[in-house]
Amino acid sequence: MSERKAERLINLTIALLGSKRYLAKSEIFRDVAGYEGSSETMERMFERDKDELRNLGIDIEVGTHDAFFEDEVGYRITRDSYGLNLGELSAEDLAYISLAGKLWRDETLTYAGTRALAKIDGSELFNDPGELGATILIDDTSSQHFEPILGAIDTRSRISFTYESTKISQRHVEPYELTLWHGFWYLIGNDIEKGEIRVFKLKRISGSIEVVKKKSAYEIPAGFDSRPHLTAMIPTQTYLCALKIRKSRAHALRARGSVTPLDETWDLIEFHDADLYTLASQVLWHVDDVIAVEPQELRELAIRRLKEKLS
Amino acid sequence: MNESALSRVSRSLDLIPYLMLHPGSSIDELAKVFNTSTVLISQDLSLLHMCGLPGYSHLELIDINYEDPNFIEVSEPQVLDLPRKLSRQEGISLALGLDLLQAVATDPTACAKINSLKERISQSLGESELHVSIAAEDTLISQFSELIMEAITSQRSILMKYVAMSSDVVTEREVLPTQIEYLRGYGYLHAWDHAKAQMRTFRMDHILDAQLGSAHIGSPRETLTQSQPTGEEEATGFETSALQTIVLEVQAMRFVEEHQGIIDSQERLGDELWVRIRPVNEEWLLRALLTLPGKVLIQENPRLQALFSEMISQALFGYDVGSQ
Repeated sequence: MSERKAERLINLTIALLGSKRYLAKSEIFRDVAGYEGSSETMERMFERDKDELRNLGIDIEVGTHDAFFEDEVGYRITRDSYGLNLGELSAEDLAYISLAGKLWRDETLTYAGTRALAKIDGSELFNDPGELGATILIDDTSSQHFEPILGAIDTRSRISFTYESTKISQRHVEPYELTLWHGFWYLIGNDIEKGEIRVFKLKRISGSIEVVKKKSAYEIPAGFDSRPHLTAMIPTQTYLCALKIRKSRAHALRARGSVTPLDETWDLIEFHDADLYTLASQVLWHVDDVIAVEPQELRELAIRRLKEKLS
Repeated sequence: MNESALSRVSRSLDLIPYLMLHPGSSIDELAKVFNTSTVLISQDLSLLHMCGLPGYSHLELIDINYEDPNFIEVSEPQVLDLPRKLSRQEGISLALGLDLLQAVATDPTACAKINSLKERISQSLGESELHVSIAAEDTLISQFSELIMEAITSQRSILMKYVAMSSDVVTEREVLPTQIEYLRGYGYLHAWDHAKAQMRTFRMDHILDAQLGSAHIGSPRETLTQSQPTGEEEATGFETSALQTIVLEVQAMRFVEEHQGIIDSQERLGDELWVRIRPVNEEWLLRALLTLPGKVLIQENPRLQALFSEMISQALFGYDVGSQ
């Protein structure tokens, strides 16, 4: 069944792409191999086939032979809409594209990159990205959720999923955008229950994403910018932080600010920081070689984390 | 093997233009490029051989020679000679890759060229917006990125001051960089350490100073590129302990997400995360656990739990609050 359907879809693509004029349904049913059965069966078959090809990104143009007469509607695929056209690409352009397609080490995007390069003929230019002093980006397996989310964004369909944050909950979201931020993929969208834009780490979505069938269910605000929603998670209030650091220890923290010797054992390091949560981790990493002095919030946070582990 | 008809159609439509660009490809090569099995590629070729323009005479069918699995060629593609436009995911893979290249490129001409390519790819998708982006990430860019990339391209070593987090020791090393890798928000440098005569991985934000060194100091390049970077150098490569079961609170899930390379398995039980951690440096593990919010319990290893308790008391002593 799958073999016959694949053959019919390829033949339909070739027929519509090879025709300079719109092909009427009757011509398609008569001439394209694979259309069999009653006219109702063929109609249903053709409707499904059109949808399938459109899902592959193939534009099927609908028109009539003669604009002045009510002619039977016909179908065709133009070479312009079907084919890849990136314009003239220099060797340098191809080098950048080749590299861009090979940066990923993530199942979905690696495969997509390889397929893209196979089309552009850039796949053999740089087999080793290291030849260009390249960077390699690796992410987790979250991009498995790309397809349903991007499909939902395209059709403006709502999605729902199980989200495992500190609490496990079912979330219903109007998806706006996917963003890679600090090494992880995030979905930014309107949380329907909360009635506000929320940021979801894709890694915390468990199971599959359900896409609600209804299309055009919402609008993405014009000029939507995800950045402010991401950075809203970063504390903005800056504190003057003071740490007591044992001599010759905690070199990375010492490099952050001014150093004042306190006695034979300790130096005082001062610098400004907003993210006390992360700084507390950095302080605790050094056990008793670094002591948080100021602000009080930092000191209390460090002590609280230690005491939690004793309870 | 249960593949949808649509996946087959998609791959088959792309096989013909690929073969037009690469006549004489083998089945193995095609399977690699299209990330599938040689069996499915053979089936695709058989399928394409049956397809063509209406009429379906030998003049209208796709003519494809695949009798020799090591030499496949298309002599008549009919109308399928044209590479299909990029799919959404293909375009996103390239556009985001270009985004990242642009973020690390320092030459304004290169930045402009990369940006123009990105726009051309977006336009080819027919999208005004991709709805996918890379947020500019300060953590990706080390002040030494440019110097290291120059060292990689010119195959020169770098002399660097590096602070190892677990030992808190600053060392001066001469290394031959081979690759920069970004993993979960951090940049890692993979390099041949001349003194230790082995490949090492360094967190780029732990490099205190670096300058270009001599040309090509050590091992042949082909040896260097064989390493399998994990991004967890601090956690591995020293003395190891057995697989450890650690019980954390869910608020420490960020630790689990950021250290997938050392996580063997994980399970959420209510508000607890039960995590199996692969053999790692004990000192690194205890320090890392100390930084986490919430309770931490090391299961089935009283010795390590005792060391951890001692470390907590030691840290609390610094705050003059004791252990109670």
